This record gives sequence, C-alpha cells and structure tokens, in this order.
Amino acid sequence: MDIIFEFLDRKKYVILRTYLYSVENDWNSIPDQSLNSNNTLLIFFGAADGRIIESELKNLQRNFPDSLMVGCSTAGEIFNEGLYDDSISLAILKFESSQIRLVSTKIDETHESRNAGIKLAKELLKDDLKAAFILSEGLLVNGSDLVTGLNQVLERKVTITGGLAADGDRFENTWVWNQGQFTSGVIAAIGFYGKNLGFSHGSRGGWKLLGPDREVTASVDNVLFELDGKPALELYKKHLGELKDDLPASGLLFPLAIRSEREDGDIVRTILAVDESEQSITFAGNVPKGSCVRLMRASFDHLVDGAMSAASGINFSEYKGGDLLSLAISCIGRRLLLGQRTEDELEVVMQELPENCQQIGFYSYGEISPLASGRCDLHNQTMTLTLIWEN
Amino acid sequence: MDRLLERQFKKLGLSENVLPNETNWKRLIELVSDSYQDSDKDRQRLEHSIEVNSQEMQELNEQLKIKVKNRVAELSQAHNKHKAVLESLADGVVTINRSGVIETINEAAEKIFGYKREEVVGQNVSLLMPKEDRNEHDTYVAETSMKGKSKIFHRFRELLGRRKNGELFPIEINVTPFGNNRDGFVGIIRDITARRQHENELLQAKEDAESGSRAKSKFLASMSHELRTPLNAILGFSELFEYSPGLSDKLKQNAKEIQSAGNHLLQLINEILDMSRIESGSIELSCEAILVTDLFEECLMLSKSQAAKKNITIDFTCEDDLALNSDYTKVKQILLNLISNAIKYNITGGNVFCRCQKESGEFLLIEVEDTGKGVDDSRIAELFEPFNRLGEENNTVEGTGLGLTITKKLVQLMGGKIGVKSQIDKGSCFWILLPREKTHQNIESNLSRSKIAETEVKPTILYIEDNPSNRRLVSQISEHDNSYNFIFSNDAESGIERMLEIKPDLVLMDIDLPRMDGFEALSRIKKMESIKHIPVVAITADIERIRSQKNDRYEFEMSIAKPICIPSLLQSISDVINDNKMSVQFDDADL
Repeated sequence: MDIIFEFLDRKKYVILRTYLYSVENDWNSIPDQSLNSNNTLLIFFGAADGRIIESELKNLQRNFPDSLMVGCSTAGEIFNEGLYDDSISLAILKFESSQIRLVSTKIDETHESRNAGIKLAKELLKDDLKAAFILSEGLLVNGSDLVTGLNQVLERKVTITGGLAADGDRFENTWVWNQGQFTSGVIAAIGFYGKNLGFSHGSRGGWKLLGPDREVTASVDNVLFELDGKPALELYKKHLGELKDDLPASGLLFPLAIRSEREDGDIVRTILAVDESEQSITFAGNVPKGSCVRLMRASFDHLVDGAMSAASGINFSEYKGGDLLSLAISCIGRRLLLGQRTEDELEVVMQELPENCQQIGFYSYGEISPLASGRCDLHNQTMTLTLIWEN
Repeated sequence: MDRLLERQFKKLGLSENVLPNETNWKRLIELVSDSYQDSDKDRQRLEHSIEVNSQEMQELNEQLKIKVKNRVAELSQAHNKHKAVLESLADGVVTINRSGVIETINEAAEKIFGYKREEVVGQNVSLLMPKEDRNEHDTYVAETSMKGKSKIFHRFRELLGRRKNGELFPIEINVTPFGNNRDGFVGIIRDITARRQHENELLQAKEDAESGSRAKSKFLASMSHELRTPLNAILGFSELFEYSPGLSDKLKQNAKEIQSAGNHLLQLINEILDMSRIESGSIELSCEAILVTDLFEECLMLSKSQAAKKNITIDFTCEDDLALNSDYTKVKQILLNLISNAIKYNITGGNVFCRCQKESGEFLLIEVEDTGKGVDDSRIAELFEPFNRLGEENNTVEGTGLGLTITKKLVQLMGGKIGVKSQIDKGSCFWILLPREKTHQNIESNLSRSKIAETEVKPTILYIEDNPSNRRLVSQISEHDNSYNFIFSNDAESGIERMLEIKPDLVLMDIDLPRMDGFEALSRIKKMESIKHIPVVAITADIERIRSQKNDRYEFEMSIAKPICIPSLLQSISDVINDNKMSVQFDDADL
C-alpha cells in the first residue's frame, strides 16, 4: 500500500533532468527523449557565438518535437556550481499537472520595450497564471521599460523573474532561441499555470556604496550624460584609472546605485555601453534625471556573501519535496570582478539550496525579479535565483 | 585549503595525495599566478578607487567650506537686517526661553521698562511685572511649555508692567511661541499709558457732556413747568370769556386773541419740550397694533374744524385691514402734524389726500398730499431743520418751525423713514414709511375708548390746589356747567380731612403742593379704609414725573397736563366717574 501511495504521490512532481554540453567534451549524458511531451519545457543557456552550438540545438529541437524550447546567449553558462564557456547548460522539465505557455515578441527600436512588455503580459494572462519567466535580448531592449509594461498588466499578483541575454564582455550581439532559431530583438516569456506549481525567488548584490551622493543632472531614459553637472563618463574614467581602456566592460566594476526613499531600497544599474562623442554612458535600466545616485564597489567577499544571502533568503515554505530546479542568473559585472573566484558564488549558492536541487543559469546583462514590495523590477549586478518545482 | 586552490586542483584532477605531472604543474602555476594577479588587480583597483575617492572628498570638503562661509555671511547679513528692523520698532520686543528667562530685548523695550539690555538678559521676565503677578506667571509659563497650548497666544491683552523705578503702568502685550518645540516665546509690548490717559480724558468729556445735557433737559422741564403754570391761568381765564354772558363782541374778540397767542406759546413750549426729550433720548415708545382706519378717523375728526376754516376737503383712501405696529400717541402726533401742515399751507378751497398702502418689506406707506404752492427741490432738505419755515414766518400762517423736525425725529425713532415730493404750484406730498403689524387679528378699535355715560346724581369733586388762580379757574367752570359740585382745599393735609368728611366722588390733586406733595398724599389716602376707593386724578405741569412714578405702589387714576384745557378736563372727569361707577356696580353685584 505504502508503495502505491508513494507512487501516486511521486506522480504529482515535475520530472527534471539537467545536461551540460561543451564543444570540448560533448554532452555529459544524452538528453532523455522520453521526456518529450506537450507539457515539457527545454530551457537552456548557450555560448554567445551561437554558431558553435547551433547543430546541437537543432538536434534537440528535432528530438523534442512536442516540447517548448527556449534559451539565450550568455556571458558564461552555469551548470550546478560550475562556470563554463562555449557550452550549453540545459534543463528539461516535464510537468505533471501544471501548464506552460511560451510567447514572444520582437522589437526594432528601444522605445518599443514597454509596449512589448504589455503585449507579452496580455498574451500570458489567464486566471491561473502563477508566474512568468522572461528571457530577453540584452542590448536593444530597455529592461526597465519592459518590466514597467509587464507590471502594468500583471500587477503584483504574478511573480515575474528572468534575465537579459548577454554577449560575453563584448556587448555587441545577443540572441534568444525562439521557434527553432537564433533571433535578435526578441523577448520570450514562459507562463506557468496551475495551483500545483511551485515558484520562488531570491536576489542580492552584495555591493557597497562608494563616495558621495551625486545628482543626475542630465539623462534620457537609460542614457546618462551628467552627474553634478559634470560628464558622467569622465567620472567613471577617473575611478577606473588604467582600466578605462577596457570600457564598457570595466565600467561594470563600478555600478551605480539609484537611491530610493521607498521600502524597496536602492536599485543597482550597470553599464552596457559608452559613447565617447556624447560623453554618455548607457545603462541596462533607466537613470531618471534628478535622482540621487552613488557609485558602488565590491570585493570578492562582498559579492560571494551577496550570492549566499540571495539563496538563504528564498522561501521554501511551500516546497514539499521532489525535483527542484534553480535558474541562476548572475550579472556579467560580478564575473568580471570575481574572475577565477566566480565559481565561489556558485558554490555558496548550491550549498545554501536543498541537497537535491539542480542548477543551470547564466551570466547576464540584467536580472528581473520582484522587490521587497512585490513589484517587479530590473536589477543589475545581482545574483538572482528562480526556483521551480511542482507539488 | 582555500576554496579557489581546491577548485584549481580539482580542475587538474589533483589533490593533496595526487601530485601533478609536468603539464599539470605548469597549468597549476598559471592558474595560481592568474589568481594572484587577479587579487593584485582587485587590490590596486580598490586602492586607486580609495585615492580618487579621497581626492573627491577633499574637493567636496573645500566646496562645502566655501558654501558654509558664504551661507554664514548671508545669514549674518539677514541677521543684521532683522536686528535693524527689531531695533527700529516702536513696540517693545522681548523673547524668553521655556523657563521664562529673558534672552533678547530690543531698544524700544529698554526704553519702555527703563532697563539696560545687560540688566535684564538672563533674568526672569517676571522682573518686568508687578510683584503680585510674578508667581502666577512662572506657573503659567511652565504649564504652557508642558501643554503647548494657550488661550493667550496671538492676541493683544492689556496688563500692568513694572518699570525699573518700580512704577506700574498699563501695557498691551501679544505673546507668540516660537521654534518647533515651543523653544520660547516672543512678546510684543506697547506702553499704553498715553492712550489710557487720552481715553480717560475722552470718558470725562463724555460724562461732562452727558451731565450738561441732563442739566439742559432738567432746566427745560422745570422751565416749561414754570411757564405753563401762568399760561394755564391766562388760557383758562380767557376761555371763560366765551361763557360770560353780556360781554361785548370786541372784548370776546380780544379774549380770543389772548387765547390764540397763549395757545401758540403753549404749542411752542410743548414742542421745545418734545425736542429736548427726543434729543436726550428720554422718549420711550409703547408699541401696539394700530388699525390705520381708526387712526385716520381720529386724526381727520381732530383736523375737521381747521380744514373747514379754509374750506378744504380731506380725502382718505386705504387698503382694507392695514395695521401699524407703533406707539399710538406718537403716530397720531405725526399724522396730525402732517395733516395740519397740509391744511395750513394749502390754498383756500384746496384738497388734502391721505393714502395708506402696503409697501414692499415690512412697512406701510402713508402719504399726505396737499394742493398748496409746493416747495422748490433745492430747499426740501431745509424743511426738516428746526425753526426753518422757508420764509413762512413772514406770512400769517401760524407755526413754530419745529413740527417737521419733531415729526422726522419721531419717525426715525420708530424705525421708519420720511420724505417729500413736491412740485411748484401743484403741491407737496409728504410720505412716511412705518413698520407694519403682521398679525392683525382682533385688533380692538381704539375709538370705542371714550363714551360718556349719563350721570343721574350730581357728583362731588374735591380739587386740592395751592395756586389760587387755578382754583378760581375751576370754580368758574362749575358756574357754567352744573353737572358737578366742586369743593376746594389748598393743601394735602386739609384735603385729606375734607375727603374723610364728605367722601367725594372724585379728587383732583395738584402734585406740587406745599409740605406734602401729591404722591405722598395719594399713598396716605390709599391707606385709609374709608376713602381708599375714591379715584384721585393728578393735575400737573410735569406729566413725565407722573409717568416715572408709575412703578410705585399707588397710581393716580389719571393724569391731566397743565395748563388745563376745559373741555378735556370735563371729558376726563366724566370718564373717571363713569368707570368708577361701573366697577362699584360690579362690586355690588358680586356681593
């Protein structure tokens, strides 16, 4: 009797398998085609240079014809506590009772970001929509506006997490895998439905404030021109010293904290691009004119501690056992700073999560997760964890 | 082992027990060297950042210093400006802390209190108060600081201040708390010694003026009494000529002239008296509902003979049931005056039109229009000036020049308005607005007030009077009218004796009697069982005095004003005797 009950009980859980492919070592094991179903989700993060993994991705798409498959380019793939490049980090989730839906939209101009968010949210919205996971192209999209659009429709009732695709430390070209091919300018959103779905999250940076408060005296959306009436780029160069030649990547070492009086606390913004002719810096999210900002700094320990607290702060009160997936999205800025110690933060995260948890993820150009108030926002320079299970 | 080193070992398949081969050894050295370089870079970056930051902080500090310096200069400038304003104020300004200790005091306050700044700053503010107020003030300051509320804030109050030389003087003070936590209080102080003195002088002047006015009224009242007494005799005796048989027409005509001149004088005296009463505010209105038709009926009847002399017809039109809320006697006086003027200044055979109608609001409009020669628009205002008769004083028309002045004042007293429209050679129309009575149900017709009942037995009347000419006047009446038996006494004591003796039907009592005046005599009479029922009528030149005694325990049955008008005296006697007879009959029936 016990065995039957246990079997019935187990049937309610999602079946999760994770795989790692690398150009050097091929697949660590062959993805299990028996998991193919119309309730199966293949989610992966792959090398920014898509050409080296394209044939493998097409194979997967062929072998899982009924399943939904989505993924994006990265600045480093995460597989459990390991960091890889030129690889595919894949999770296959076969849901038992929950439903999934994949929608996407394409934008040609940055200013379309907000409407794209509204469109996606409307397509996903059904009564039992419990959570949404977003994978967006990482350079053209204004992440802040995208999230504003999503919030407008989904409000605080639906948990939204996700990230912006990356292109290593090059900031040139990102892609999202959609409908069996690489696409640019695409934002994909996965909707999770049903009362049995478990979805939780945690997000922390670990950065410390540096120097005085500065006022944003000239900016347009996510393009910053002046701080305290002086060119913002000049200030960054001064702080970077010799590293200024490595901009924009080296700019990630000094994120910007946008101070807030609200309960949600400060928002962290990271550099995406610089424009020498305009003396401007483009950030991954908006930097409103008139707001008060401060530079940020971090040491290895600060960031590792931040990642640990992102994991330890996750609410597992509804998790009753079974397969558990952690989608780790960490910022490219952290990887640049941590260097060889990057895996330190992945190790501490895995140590904090339940023992049977499997993890895939990527280093990104931006993370999406709710603030303390429940309102979703775009973050930079954080370790953002999304936990998925089924009860 | 360090986490990184462990990982580096692991990546190369090494551990503490598995030693590296040559390739792995080189790879390990590379990895370790890289991580050292990373750490160095990280340290250098942070060091650089601290350096830049410290430089920035230094710059900011310099900027801040300059800002503070400028701000201090600005504040000091503002402070000096405020101080200059404070010192130039005419009012004293004193600030105290929560414990009541003086913190600042301006120049005006120094002058007011006679202290130098250094003598009071740091002292308790009670130093500036009368000694007996000091304890109370300390308690008050403490309580206000605790509660934070006070009814004395933000308004001027008058108190006493104390100068350095101990002199107490009146001040006006306004206290306001300042600071977010009511850190202290600011008091604006004004020395009002001079103002008080001025107010006292004004008060004294007002009292003097009022006392002068009272003296004037008293003088007028007593003068009119003194004038009316001899006038009483003149009018009375000249009137008797009419009843004297065998007197030549010429003598009768002379007597009429005396009467006419006397009446004019009497009217003048009465009107001057009215004026002085109105001006001194001693006239009181006794308002009641008055049917306009009643009022006009009486006025027209009284004006009939005057109109007949000039062959003038008087028309009266009035909406039904209109009523005034006013003093009957005074309204009658007003209307009689207007009608009398309309007759006097009319052409012979002319018309007088009287109209009354509802006016918007709560007023009735009464108009008296004549067909006289009219008044020029430019002189209409003069009509209401005392003694201004617009040249009529040179004509034969009699008048005092006070009638319209009095009329206007009476109308105003009643809350009404008066005016005139006039057209040269067509006539004038005087109009008045008087308050309307709104509830005019069952208003008693006033005309039914006097009806003379027939007397069967000849009543006996006792006249107590010290003035022989008045006694003679009344005794001569009895010679012409056989309705009454008159007997006389010349003082109150003998009068009362006569009353006890003969029990007269009526007593006529002069008020200004020697030794015992009319009031005292009345109170004695009313205490005597056998004569207290006998009606006593006062005859006096000072009707006001009788009115003012109304609240006394005993009242006269009626008061008749001197000089005596014979027909009205006879009417009054008849009224009182009949009323009394009826009440006696009533008493009998009860028994």
